[in-house]
Amino acid sequence: MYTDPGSGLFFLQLIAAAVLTAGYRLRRLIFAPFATKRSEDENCED
Amino acid sequence: MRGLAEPLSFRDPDGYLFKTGNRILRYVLPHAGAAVRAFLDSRLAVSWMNQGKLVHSTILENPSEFELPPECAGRLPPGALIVEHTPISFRNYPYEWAPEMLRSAAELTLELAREAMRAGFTLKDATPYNLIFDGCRPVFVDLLSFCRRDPREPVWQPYAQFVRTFTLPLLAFRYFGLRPDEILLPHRDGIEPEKLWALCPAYRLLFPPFLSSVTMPVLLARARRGASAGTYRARHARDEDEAAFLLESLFARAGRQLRRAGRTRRGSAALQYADSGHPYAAVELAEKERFVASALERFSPRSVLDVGCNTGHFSWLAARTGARVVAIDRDEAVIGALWRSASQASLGILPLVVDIGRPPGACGWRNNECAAFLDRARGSFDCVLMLALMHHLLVNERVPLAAILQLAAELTTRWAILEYIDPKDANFQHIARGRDALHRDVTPESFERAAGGWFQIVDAAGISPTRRIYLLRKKEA
Repeated sequence: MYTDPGSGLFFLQLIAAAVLTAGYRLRRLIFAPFATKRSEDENCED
Repeated sequence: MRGLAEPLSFRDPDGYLFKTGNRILRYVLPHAGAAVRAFLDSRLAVSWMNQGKLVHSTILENPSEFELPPECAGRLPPGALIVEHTPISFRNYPYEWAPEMLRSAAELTLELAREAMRAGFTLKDATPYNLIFDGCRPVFVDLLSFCRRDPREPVWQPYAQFVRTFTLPLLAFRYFGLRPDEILLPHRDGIEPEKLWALCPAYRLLFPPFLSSVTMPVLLARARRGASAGTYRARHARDEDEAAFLLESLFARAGRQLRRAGRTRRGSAALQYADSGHPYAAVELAEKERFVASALERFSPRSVLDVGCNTGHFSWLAARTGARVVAIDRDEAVIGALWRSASQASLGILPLVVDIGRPPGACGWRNNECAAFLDRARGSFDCVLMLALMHHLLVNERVPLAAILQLAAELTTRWAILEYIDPKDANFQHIARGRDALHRDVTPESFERAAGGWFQIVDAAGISPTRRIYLLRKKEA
């Protein structure tokens, strides 16, 4: 990569990514059972 | 005979642009050839080219010796490519754009980055120099900026460059009145958050939009001053969905920052002046319009340069006759307004912030990356308009009458429509502020004598007691 990634702006991106990752994984953890249930329901309808 | 290949770029490690005659060609080095071909063959690239978002690019399957750069010594290495790009009519640079145009270029950059990410590609740099305005539309021209993406890469490396070159210059304009040219002309890679921090009152640093674009990056940079090269190592998300989610969030955040930074400044004095401050009575303006419209219809110029265009009233007239128009003015507010109106009407007008009294010179590495405005303009227009401009150059720039006419002759290959403004004119006197003695040699006779050095007077009409308009034909060399 030949573009200067910056310092403060790069760290900000990393921190934002870490916070979002935590939220994303938590959301997946919470909603995973419902997602499975819905797909099972959809299969039943078929 | 082979045209001299002139390299036009050098920073990208995957290839460079060069010019052969009037053709714009790109040499793609062997290591990048397959990736560029895959991108150009993708539905994404084809769709962008069809929509005019990406410059039209064609791979020359069997380039002749004349289509190769000198380093190939007449033979294309295996894996390398020659790509031909459709030339854009008038090359322009980010430091000549109004803030609205910079924002539009930023929006297109983000849009393409987001779509590329969804299609498995990434935009590897995000600078306004990747785009050129073709008329009112920004077109992405740097083909090599797109490459395959690591599907688990959760970071967009050019984010900082995007902020430095788009978001922060727009913030600096909105809050501190710094025009894009004041930032982008001396700083190729934009403005660092630290510079805006220094300009910003303390209370502003605590609130959006400065909090996320300036304050936090500056504090983080200070805190991580000792960061090692390992900080910048490639990172991976747990899976592709997670990486896509993070990048979508980043693009959304960059878009929000851009929207906040790019809001138009209200109450521009220059625009109010342009709307109501012109000195013509209705009948005088009608006569001026009639004269210009009649000249344009009679000679149908293909390309028109409107110097000192103001809000572009006469640029519109020229564009409606089918001419490609480049309209320049030193006031970014009127250029922004013209860009908005011409974009809505899809007219072939390219408005640029250029002060003809101090036009941008050649700049960049060895003064060879960005051509001087006048060098680009010479030979590009068969008609030049200089309406209600002469007195500004005479008084504010102290340019002699003959030099103004010489410039008009340099800028056109055929026609010029010039407005003579007498020193007795109220606007002339307003800006002269009592310095009448300096302009006592400016008379209709001296104007016509000076014009005679380069032009033949084809037609002339009085539009008011102190203003006269001329249609001039350039004398053969």
